[in-house]
Order: sequence, then structure tokens, then C-alpha cells
Amino acid sequence: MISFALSRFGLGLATLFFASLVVFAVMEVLPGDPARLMMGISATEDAVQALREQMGLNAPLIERYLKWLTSFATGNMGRSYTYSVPVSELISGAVGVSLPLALMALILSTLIAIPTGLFAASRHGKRADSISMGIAQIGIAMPNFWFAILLVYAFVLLPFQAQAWVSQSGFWGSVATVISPISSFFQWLKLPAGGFPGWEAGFIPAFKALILPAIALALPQAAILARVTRSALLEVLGEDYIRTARAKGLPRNIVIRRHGLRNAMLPVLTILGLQFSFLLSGTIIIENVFYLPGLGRMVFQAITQRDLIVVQSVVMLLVIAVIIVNLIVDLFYAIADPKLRRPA
Amino acid sequence: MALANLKTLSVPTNVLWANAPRNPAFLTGFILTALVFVAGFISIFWTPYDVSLVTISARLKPPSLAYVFGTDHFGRDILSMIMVGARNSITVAIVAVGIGLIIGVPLGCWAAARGGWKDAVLMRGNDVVFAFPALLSAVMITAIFGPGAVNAIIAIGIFNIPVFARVARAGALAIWPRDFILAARAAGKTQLQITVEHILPNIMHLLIVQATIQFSLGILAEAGLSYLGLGAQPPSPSWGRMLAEAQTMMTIGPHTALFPGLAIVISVLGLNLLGDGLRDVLDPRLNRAK
Repeated sequence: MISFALSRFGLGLATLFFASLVVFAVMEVLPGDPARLMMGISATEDAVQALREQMGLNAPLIERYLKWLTSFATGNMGRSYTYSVPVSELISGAVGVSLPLALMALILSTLIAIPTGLFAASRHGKRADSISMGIAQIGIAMPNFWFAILLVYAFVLLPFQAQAWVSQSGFWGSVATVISPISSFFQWLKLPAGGFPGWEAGFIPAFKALILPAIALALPQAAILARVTRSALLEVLGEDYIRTARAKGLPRNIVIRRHGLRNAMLPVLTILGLQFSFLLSGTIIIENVFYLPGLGRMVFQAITQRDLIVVQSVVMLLVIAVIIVNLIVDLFYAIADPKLRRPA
Repeated sequence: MALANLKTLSVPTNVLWANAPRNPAFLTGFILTALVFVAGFISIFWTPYDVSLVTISARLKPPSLAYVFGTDHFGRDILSMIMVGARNSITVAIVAVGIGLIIGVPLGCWAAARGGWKDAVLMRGNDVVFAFPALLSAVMITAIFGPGAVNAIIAIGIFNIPVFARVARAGALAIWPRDFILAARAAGKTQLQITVEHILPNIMHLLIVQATIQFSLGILAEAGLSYLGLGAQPPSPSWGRMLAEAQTMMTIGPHTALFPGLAIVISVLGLNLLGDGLRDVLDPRLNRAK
């Protein structure tokens, strides 16, 4: 067990090392001189050179790589070229948005997916199974930013428009009357269509600002996870020990929950770990849809502004997060499945 | 010679045509995918309106007989834009899958044939690529080379390489210990010959299924990149950018956000169903296990 953990840890570290080389190399070939960008186009060549010297951009490659690595490891990530504030400050602010968002999406998708997968598997081959898996297929096919736009329309814009239609006669008037309790409820909810007030504005407003983004982020994840849960359960339910449990007289539901779900959780856990990377990808788009000042939007803006030091730090941080999550999943897997404890 | 073999053995066509009509996922997927491909193909010769035709008097018109899907904020016909957008999405996704296949499959087969440290190095390299959230890297790549359809293809294609390498390697590793491979080795065939003549045909069904999945992911990725403004540049229409523009028009023209989104869902859904169907049809063992 310990040797397995150590070998996994070693692999994680090696991956991290090569990833850091890649990040550094990519930043090196990125066109655009940050010093020139900071000074503006009217700056003299001498002034730009002086700034390059001051920013340490003229040092040899290896020296800059090592300097970046050590300063990153000590949390002193340097100053943003565009905002002139410490990168660590920018990042900690953005993490305060992205981390709760990702966690909400993760919890939401798990809460939707596992019961759905369980439901579909327990009705395998019946109509309920095909319908729920059909919905899951559509969930996978839906781009999350389109779903986000539709959510904003349904929760924020439509309730106001529907209010105006109530007085009208004809088809839309009657539709508006029927859905008016829902639309007044959504109006009462007052979910913002975008933006983030910050946690200092109070928990409730900040939480509300993250609800629609979290739903949009959770949908494709939930759809994939529901499919995995279903197929993992179906596979487990075909095992001999399930037949034994049924033969000794245990009711079907208890067999599924006690013997089936517990054993089916292994592949589900793996997918959950792999999805973490997709979730981070999703935040880049979703934070842009909702104008949330999180890591995804920050890195996107930093790339377009050539704020290299911010890009390097955020990308490195995201890669570390992915590697750590996968390491945790690997170890969890080893604890749950004794067969895997021996290194392959 | 090798190529001829590949052709006769690659896809079990008889199995495909015998089982396909009875597989509802395959049929639905095939029809949806065909719809998108045909729309994209027709757009090469004909669209209802010129996609660059700006008609301010007809801006944000809801769907009608004249404009089936309505018009956008410049008065451009949304149906025509979606048809040209289909062509754009399909091209990006096909080339990106091609990049993954052409580079990834030989790498994976090579790793499986050689084993040892070469295999280990390749797989660790894969791990490094997988540690980067795909879209983040795509954003970085398009930022380096500038936004545009070609760079979107490269950005998406690079991430297909490790996927195909992994699938090809796993498939090949399962074939290598088989008896007929031993026979081929005893007959004096080289690793390259065995890979081309025996391994590839036997992992072809895995690659086809994976290619359909990556195709659909490519369409989603292209839509995401062009939503962020990093895909095909104006005036060439793309589904993602149509949605980005529609987002600001939601109160006055909600239909502008409806149809491009539906187009994406139909293509991705179609390809995913096709992939699921192909997997069932091409691998009869899986059918029986269910």
C-alpha cells in the first residue's frame, strides 16, 4: 500500500515537473513583449530595455525557469504586468469565486447523477431507462454556455416578459397566466444574470450569483456521470454475488443499494476525478458567460492581455489541482480495491 | 499489399450492414449526422440567402416563411448562417480528428509493439498532456498563433493525439499475446508488418468508435472556442459566435439564441448516438453481455 502510494506520488511529481517545463516553454514562445505592452507603443527602446532588465526578462532561460519555479513554490508569484498587484493576491481573490463554483457544480452533478443512474439501472430495458438515458444524451450534447444562456432567459428575462403577457388575450396570454406563479417565484428569487458582488457583500447575494453558473456547469457532468453510474451498476448486477444475495431472499432494492451501488462506485469515482479537469475547462467559458471574476475568466483575460506571469501561475495552479485530484482518486481506488495495491 | 489487406479486413462491413438497421441508436445517430453533413454540403453551392448580406430593415425578424429560422441583429438569415456554420464545424472537427489519428495511432501502436521504457515515456507524456484542462490549452494555443479556424483545428487536434495513442495502445496490447500474432512472428514477419497487417485491422473498430466520439467533442470544442471569439473570424459564420452575439439580444430576439444551439445539440447528439450504435454493431460480444 505504502509503496503504491509512493510510486503514484512520484509519478504525480514527475508529471508536475514536465508540465512546468511545458508551461514555461509555451510562455517563452508567446509573441508580444510584456515590457513593450506595459510601456505602450510610444515608449523609447531604452525605456523598454530598462523595464525588461528590471522585470528580469533578460536573464538566461534556465535562470528564469528556476527563479519562476522557486518563487512559485514559495507563494511569491511576482506582480501582474497589467494590474501591478501581486499575482498571489489576484489568484486568491479568483479562487474565492472558482472554488465554490466548482464545488457547487460537483455536488449538484453528483446529487443528480447517482440517483438517476440508480433509477435507470433498476429499470433496465424499460421505458423509464430509455427516457432518462435519452435525457442524459441530450445533456452531454448541450454546450454548457448555450445551456447557461437558456437558464438566464428562463430564470431572469422570461419572468419579466411573462408578467407583461398576462394582460394579453390569446394563446400567449393564457400561457403567461398559467405559468405566472412560477414566473413570480423566479422574480422573487432575483437571481442575477451575471456579475459577482463579492463575498464581502454577504453570503446570500454572492451565493445567489453562483447558482445559475453552477447549474450550467453541472449539467454535462451530471449527464456523463449518470451514464457511468448506470453502466457500472448494470455490470455489477450481473455478478454472481448479486445472484447469491437475491437467492438468499434479499429484496431487489436492498441488493442494488447494499451490494450493487457500493461496488459500482469505483468506476464512478474514477470518472468523477477525470471530470475535475473538464470542470476547470468549463469554468473558463461559464465564468465568461456570467462575467464572474474567477480563475477561468482571469486566465482568459490574462492571455489576451499578454500578462504572462498571471497566465503561468494560474495554469500551473490548475495543473497542480488536476494532478492532486487524480492522485487522491488513485489512492482512494487502492483503498477500496485491494487488487490494485500492488504496483503494476 | 499491406494497404489492400487493411481494406479487406478493416471494417467488418457485413456485420455492420446486418446489425445496423436493427440498432435504434445507430439509425437515429446516422440520420441526425447525415442531416448536418447534408446541410453543410449544400451550403457550398446554395444557401437561402447570402450569409454576408446585411439587411437592416429585416433585422431580428422572428421565424417566418421568408426566413425559416428568423434573422439576426444585422438582418442576416439564420438558416443560411447555420448551414455555413455546419460546414465550418465539420471541417474543424474532421481535420482535428485526422491529426489525432495520423499521429496518435502510430505512436500508440509503436509503444505497444516495443514496450519497455519507450512505452513508459510515451504514456508519461500522455499523462502530462492530460494534466492540462483541454480548453485552457486550446485558449493558450489560439492566443499564441492568433484566433482563427486553422489555429482552432490545431488546438483541438493536439488533444486528440494522446487520446488515440491511448486507445490504439490499449487495443494493440490486447492483440499482441494472441496465437495468430505468434504464428505471424514465427513466419518471420517484422513488428511493422504485424502491426499493419494484423494489429490495425483488429483495433479498427475501437478507433472508429473513438473517432466518432472525438468528432463530437471537436464540434463542442470549436463552438466553445468560437464563443470566446477564438474560432473562425467574421464574416465567416460559426455556431459559437452566433450564440455569443445572440446572448446580448435575448430580450428582443430570443430566437437568435435558439437555432444555433439546437444545431450544436443535433450534431453532437447524432455523432454520440452513432458512436454508441457503432460500438454495439461492430462488437457483437458487447451485445451479448448486455
